[in-house]
Amino acid sequence: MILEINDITKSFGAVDVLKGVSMSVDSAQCYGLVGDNGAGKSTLLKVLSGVHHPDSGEIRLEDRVVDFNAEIGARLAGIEMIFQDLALCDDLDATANIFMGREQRKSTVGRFGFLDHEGMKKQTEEVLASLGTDLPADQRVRTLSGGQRQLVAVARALEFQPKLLLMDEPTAALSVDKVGVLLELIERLKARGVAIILVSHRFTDLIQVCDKVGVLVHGKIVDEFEVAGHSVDNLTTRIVRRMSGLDLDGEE
Amino acid sequence: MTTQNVSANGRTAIGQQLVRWGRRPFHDIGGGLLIALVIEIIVFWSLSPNFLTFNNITDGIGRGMVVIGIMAVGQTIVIIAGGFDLSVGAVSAAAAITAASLSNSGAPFLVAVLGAMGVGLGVGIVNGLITGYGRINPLITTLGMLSIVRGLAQLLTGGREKVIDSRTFLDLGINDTFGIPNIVWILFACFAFFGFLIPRTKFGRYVYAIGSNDRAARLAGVRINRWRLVIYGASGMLAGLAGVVTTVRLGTAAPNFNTGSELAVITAVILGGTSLQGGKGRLLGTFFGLLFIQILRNGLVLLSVRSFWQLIAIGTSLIAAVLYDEWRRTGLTRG
Ligand SMILES: Nc1ncnc2c1ncn2[C@@H]1O[C@H](COP(=O)(O)OP(=O)(O)O)[C@@H](O)[C@H]1O
Ligand SMILES: [Mg+2]
Repeated sequence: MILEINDITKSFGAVDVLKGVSMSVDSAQCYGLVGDNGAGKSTLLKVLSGVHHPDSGEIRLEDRVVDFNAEIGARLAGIEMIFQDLALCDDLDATANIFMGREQRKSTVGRFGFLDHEGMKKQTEEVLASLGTDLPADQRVRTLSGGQRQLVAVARALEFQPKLLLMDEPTAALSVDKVGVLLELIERLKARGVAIILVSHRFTDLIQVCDKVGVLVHGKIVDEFEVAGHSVDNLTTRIVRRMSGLDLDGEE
Repeated sequence: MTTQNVSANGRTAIGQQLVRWGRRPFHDIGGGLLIALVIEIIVFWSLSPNFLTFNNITDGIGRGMVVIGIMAVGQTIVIIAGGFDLSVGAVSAAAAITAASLSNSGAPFLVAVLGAMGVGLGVGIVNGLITGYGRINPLITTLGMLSIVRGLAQLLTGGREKVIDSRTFLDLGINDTFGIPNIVWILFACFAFFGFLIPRTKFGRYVYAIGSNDRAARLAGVRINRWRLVIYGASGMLAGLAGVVTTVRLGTAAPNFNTGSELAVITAVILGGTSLQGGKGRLLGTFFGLLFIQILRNGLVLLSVRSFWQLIAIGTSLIAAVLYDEWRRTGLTRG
């Protein structure tokens, strides 16, 4: 298993957001996470990417217990996250955002060196092209459309070849054809061995690309199942019933 | 047919590139300031025969703008990074006293200057610690620091001036190189140094990133609180240098030096198009903002207008600049 978590809990003040979450995802696998607003999906991904420290429980990355205390720790370990609110610096361009915190420099002397603007711009254009977009790499992100901004956030996560990619509603602002591009991309990443956790409200998309789906209700995974061998309709019904706290009426 | 299209496109592309390149220096500054500057010059030129003389340009305007100019370089960086530094005037006074004390006790010129800048750096780092790690509003932090540093300067000097003995200090204030006062060269060097570094280094990039969205920068792994130490440290250090220049010009050091100068400093920065919201601004803009403020101060002096009018004029410019910025921003969002 590339990632395995056991009994993760997390509270903010008096609010218990995660109440003992366990799950796992293997390389070349996509784990779909669904749940109502406020169920704790974003919080779970933020715990996995080191933004929040869990109150208890264990995170194992490639069979070793890890304890990230800074975001960069998780990134160095090969975990990238696409945040629900994208977390972009709107006054900077796509290139600056994609390389934020990991700027490339030419001819460094010790810790000093000048930014390699051309090199970073070229790589930005390449990664954006691989996402099927030719949005300008050197224009302020503020001036881009919602879908383009989302693609910048996706590009940032891809540029550094993650082992585990956490995607928090990455398609929310995308047009239908760009959603298609993103789903294809997830397939390609899986083929390259990347593990993915995908949070999405589009159940059909989720079922299309994910191998396993977990349903999070009030900070607990109440149901988890393999996608293979079931019809989309069946699974959608199952998800919806689980999210409303219903039993499965002995159907499965 | 195809080749024609290509060459036509090529030509427009080059044309657009030229237009962009031509605009580039003034991008973000806004034409408003440049027009205001031209009008201001014409007005003072027509009202005062002494305005456009060599002496007034090098001395009244040039030498006169060095102290607030050096502080404005640091302030620009701090404000782009979403902060504020009200302590610069007080820091410059403390630094001036440090330089004078060191020099009078026999330290070489360079040591006295470095000591003064070190005091500024120290205060700046404390500002950075409190606003960054302590998460206290920068206005409050640096306002408190203004008072503390001013008070300490009074305490240590007993409120008295220190007269400088060193010739090097006095000469630096008087001498020219290529017709331009040496202290004006110091100002140019500060603008050039940071103007060169900001677009080319991580430091510059993080200044904009922290001002634009510090949370996003942090999530991307930028150690924003450490960079805040660098940012406020730079501002403090420059304020220290400004204190040295004040001493050089006046031949003394006093704890009440540059009282209220933060008003002119911040006005120059905001006039220059740096956004109070952070994330946006340029040193070149600050330079023009500085020229505007200094010409205003100098022109009013030449016209023998009583000095409180200076305060009124600068305050009005500050509010006008903020209104203009706000109007431009909301206009942009609506469009
Ligand atoms: N930093 C935080 N501080 C306090 N409460 C938080 C914080 N982040 C999330 N919460 C709360 O945790 C709950 C789950 O939020 P979240 O993980 O964003 O849910 P989801 O992504 O499933 O919609 C919500 O009630 C939210 O208000
Ligand atoms: Mg969420």
